[in-house]
Amino acid sequence: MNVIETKGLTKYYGKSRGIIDVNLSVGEGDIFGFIGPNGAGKSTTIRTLLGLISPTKGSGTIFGMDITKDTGKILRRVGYMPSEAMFYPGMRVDETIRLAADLRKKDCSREAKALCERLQLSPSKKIEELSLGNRKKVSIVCAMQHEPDLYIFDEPTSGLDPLMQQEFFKLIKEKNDKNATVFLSSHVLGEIQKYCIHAGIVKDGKLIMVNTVEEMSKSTAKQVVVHGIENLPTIAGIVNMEKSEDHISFMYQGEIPLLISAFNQLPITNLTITDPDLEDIFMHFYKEAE
Amino acid sequence: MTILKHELKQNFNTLLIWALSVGIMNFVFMMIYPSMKSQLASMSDVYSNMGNFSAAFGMDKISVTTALGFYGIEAGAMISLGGAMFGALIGIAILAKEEGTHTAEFLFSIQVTRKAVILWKALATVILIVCFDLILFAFGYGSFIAMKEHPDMKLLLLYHLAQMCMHIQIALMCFGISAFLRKSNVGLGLGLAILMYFLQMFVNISDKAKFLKYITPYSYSDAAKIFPTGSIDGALLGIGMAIAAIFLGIGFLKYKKKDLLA
Repeated sequence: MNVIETKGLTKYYGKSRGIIDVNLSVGEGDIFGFIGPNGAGKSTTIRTLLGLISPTKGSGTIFGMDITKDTGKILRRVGYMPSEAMFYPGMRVDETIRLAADLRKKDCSREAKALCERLQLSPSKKIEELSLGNRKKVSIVCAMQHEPDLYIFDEPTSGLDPLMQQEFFKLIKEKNDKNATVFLSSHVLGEIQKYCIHAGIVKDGKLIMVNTVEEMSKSTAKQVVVHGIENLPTIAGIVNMEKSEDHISFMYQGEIPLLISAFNQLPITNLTITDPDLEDIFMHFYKEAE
Repeated sequence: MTILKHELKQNFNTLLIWALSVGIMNFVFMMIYPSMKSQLASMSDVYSNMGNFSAAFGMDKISVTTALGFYGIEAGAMISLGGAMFGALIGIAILAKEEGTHTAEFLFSIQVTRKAVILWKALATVILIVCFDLILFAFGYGSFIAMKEHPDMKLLLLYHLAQMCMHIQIALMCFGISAFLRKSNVGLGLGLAILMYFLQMFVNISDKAKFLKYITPYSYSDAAKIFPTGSIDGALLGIGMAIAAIFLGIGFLKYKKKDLLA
């Protein structure tokens, strides 16, 4: 069963585009990564799914429930962490977390305590005294303490230190092992590559690619970096060339022996040929879509 | 109930500061009455015969020489304006602040419906005003006790009841307006409260402006109207409450469908 399903989901802010014709399916038990640069439409998609903004056109369901009509019922089963972790002034961490639980009419004190300990979050501190990273931790606890069936995270690890990022993904994995579905948007492609099962790339409001991370990473192209020459020989299969002061990098989609023979006799001082990581692939898809 | 308790807690300091400030100012102001009593007696004709100036402040209808009259005219300005401004402050912020302070994503991504949020916040607004006015009444009545004066309790209670209704009306009008705003606009709220006050002055001064009494809630909460008749104008009060309900209703309909920005 698809936990999230959208058909032609479109949102315009006046004349400005938000998202256009987004057709998205996220299966139960998936960890889905949503990738795109600033302004691509990631947050707009998420906020439309959660009923914070209304779609201009199209439809969407979460757990088979209409996102425009059944918002309350949907939100009972969702834990959401927004990209901005803003809370009410004058409250402490434990009061904020308890407020979220009280609004859900649920006693989440045991789970909240466990999460605070794992994330090294001090419950007695005032919200105003917290750094961005610690406010993000409060946001994580509020999203996870009631153990929902679907987690939606918007740039969850921005502001978290590397140890906490690791701890966060451990928590995600534990919840996913219990069959919870996770939908997260991120700029950090390394995280998507490491932890997500499926990923979608969004550009200028449109979903340009959805696939398993494994398939996306499985590219016949190679990432090549060559030092010692100022211009490349003319051979087919070179894409996304970038020249720096001391090297030229590019993606190569042709035969390796052809590349090697083209470089023969050239004053190359260093040559590396590697499998591209998701960032390289993302940049490739992105420029291709342009 | 969680939202109600939360809003009462969040606005508790504001309530305390405003209620104590206006209440104490009133009390202190009333304490000058005993020393001015004899002078006021000799000046009462002057006060009530200053043409439009007297009419604007209701001094042509009630006498400032009595403790209750002095309360209605002099302290009444502070109670009216202070209370209206407090109501406006609460009403204009309570909805709009969620977007203004970026807490909308926290609140509205939990399973509360917008309808529930709006209704509980409106109730919180009314409760805060009621508490404010109770504190004001305590200080006001306390000032009479301190002066060893015995005001007509029915008139005093009627006056404070009318004032409370006026404060609630302004608060709910601002509440309805705040549904259209992306952040709290204190200037707009206070401006509305003060505008209504000045409209009442025009009503008092000019026959051509009499129609404004249907618009400004000061018309049914004016001591100059209540003390001579011993009653609140039910029709004007009803129109005032209807206006409040209309603003609340329009705000409700707007906020239910509004896109909440991050």
